[in-house]
Amino acid sequence: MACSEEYSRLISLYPLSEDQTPEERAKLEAHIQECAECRADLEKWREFLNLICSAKGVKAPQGVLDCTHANITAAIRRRAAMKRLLRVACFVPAIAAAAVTIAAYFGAFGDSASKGTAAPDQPAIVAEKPGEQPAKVEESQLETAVTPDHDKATDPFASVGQPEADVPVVAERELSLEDKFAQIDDPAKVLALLKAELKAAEADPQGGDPEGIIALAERLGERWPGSPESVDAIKLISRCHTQMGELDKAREVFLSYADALGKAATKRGLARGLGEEKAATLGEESTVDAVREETSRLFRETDYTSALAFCDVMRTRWSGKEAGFFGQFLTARCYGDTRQYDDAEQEYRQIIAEHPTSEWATRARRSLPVILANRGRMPEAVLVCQQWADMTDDRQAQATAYYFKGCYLMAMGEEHYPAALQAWQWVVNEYPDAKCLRSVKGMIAKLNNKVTGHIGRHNP
Amino acid sequence: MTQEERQTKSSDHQAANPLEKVLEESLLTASKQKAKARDWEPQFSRYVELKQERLLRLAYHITGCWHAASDAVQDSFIALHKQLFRRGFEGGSIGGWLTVVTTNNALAYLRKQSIREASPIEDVPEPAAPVSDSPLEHREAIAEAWLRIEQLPEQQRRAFVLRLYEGWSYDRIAAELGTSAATAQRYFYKALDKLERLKCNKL
Repeated sequence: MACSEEYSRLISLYPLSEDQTPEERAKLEAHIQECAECRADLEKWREFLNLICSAKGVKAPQGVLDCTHANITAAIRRRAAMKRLLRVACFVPAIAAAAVTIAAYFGAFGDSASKGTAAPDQPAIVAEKPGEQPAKVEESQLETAVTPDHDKATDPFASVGQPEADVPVVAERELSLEDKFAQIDDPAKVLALLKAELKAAEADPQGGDPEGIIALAERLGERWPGSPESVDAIKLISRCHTQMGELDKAREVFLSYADALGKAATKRGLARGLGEEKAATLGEESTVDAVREETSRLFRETDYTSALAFCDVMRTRWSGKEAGFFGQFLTARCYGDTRQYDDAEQEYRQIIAEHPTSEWATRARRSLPVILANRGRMPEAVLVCQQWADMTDDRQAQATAYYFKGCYLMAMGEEHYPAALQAWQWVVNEYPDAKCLRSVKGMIAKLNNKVTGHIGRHNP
Repeated sequence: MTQEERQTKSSDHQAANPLEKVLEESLLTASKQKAKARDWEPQFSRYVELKQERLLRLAYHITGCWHAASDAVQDSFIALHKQLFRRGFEGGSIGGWLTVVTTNNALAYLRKQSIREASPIEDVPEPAAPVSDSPLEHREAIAEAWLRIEQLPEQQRRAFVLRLYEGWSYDRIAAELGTSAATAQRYFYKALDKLERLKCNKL
């Protein structure tokens, strides 16, 4: 209609009152009273803008905020550390080469006795030829070279992931740890002292006193409550427990450290893998429901290692039963989500082959094409979709199967577009109540646009 | 109403947090002076803290998944850090740049998702945890709407997101895009026109 063209701009600006004059608004308002088409257009347009702007009421969960912030900081710090490492790795060989040049210079004009040989009490330095691999830098060299001038007191991140400060523990061994603790007034220095003490204890398990360190670390927390060092001291206590072989206690303390830091991500990361241990010691008295629920929870939390361990328990304990199938199916899902597609495919195929008429086989038929498609095996994915549609009695599932079939056909290339369109058209005609109808129609429109564009380009 | 009047009238309706502004300015100055990233880490971290929620909301709105939103925002901030302290910042303002890059990251995720369909199973838990709370159909409609925006040319999309989502004035958008205010307005109108036509199936 001609009016659509004329009022198109007015409609597009109507919801944005700032961009439209009162006259323009009045003109459009008068028009839409008469023209149903423009009224419908305006309604659609308003709905669209509402969809775009409806994000403003959403609130991000605290866990997501913490996790995002922690990950950004960690990524930036990793990058910086890598940069420093590279710098040091390039710098050390250059110094070595310079030292050799100087040595050669003095060797040539200096004492004839030392000409051409290095002094016996000094290590010989081998010159690097240009183009050779740079000499390997020892870790200890890097640690000292990386952090000499950084002021930890001004840097809130300094205590995390940085090498520990050097404290002359060996030289001051004659004073007891308690005495030294009493003498130092700075929490950072106390923490460094305790860290160094623990390091020495870790190197020499017989000579160290982790319990004494724990006591002092706790006192540090009491003496300087709320300081960053008091939080780090909790981590130190956890390390002491590890040193003493009290792993459960160490983990518990570490979790409280994570709490203290308020880093949900750390906590979640640490809790990962615990399920594996738990699955190994799962008592016979555990009910199917409890195990199933725990397995689902682990899977939901993407702790796949633990979920797989629980799935194994379910598969062996309730073999041939509903819970066993669930375990097998979830195993396949875990493999799929961790991109172990071969294993996932094998599991799904096994479910389909062993229990072709079960509910789990239907689900496997639904998930298997996704795995196949991810490996680029579209024809097989199409085949499985067709089998899925043939095997199931559920109309919704049939419609979804045809929808997926169309998607995979479309992904196979232009020559399969008609087949894809046919599959989707079949859904539109035969399953008007399908839940996926909107997606199907969207795909049809998308394909039509693609085809039209194609024809347009080649036949202008 | 003349064009100038419209531009003046369409002022920013979402004023940024003053601290956010100060941090943006100081980070930009640091970038220009080629300061060391390490010295500016606390400021950068504070800026992330202030800015992330808004960006997370935007990315979540587009993707419908907090994990994907978090990824998109993380990528944006890491790219920003690289721009500020390594390559030199080329955008107009940090806030606008972040909004546009986060939108692009989230749209890239959405595009991938629309190609590789997930396999939702009724009572088996879904992977990659928190899924959108909104009903499926509504979620689908939002995704569809954003996929339409994704089809817009880059400049038009930027103008559209900054004007409609951030509520920026044309002057500010123009500074961001490196054009005049009139051109920024034209980009926005073209985007509106195209989207309106797409929405009403006129194309």
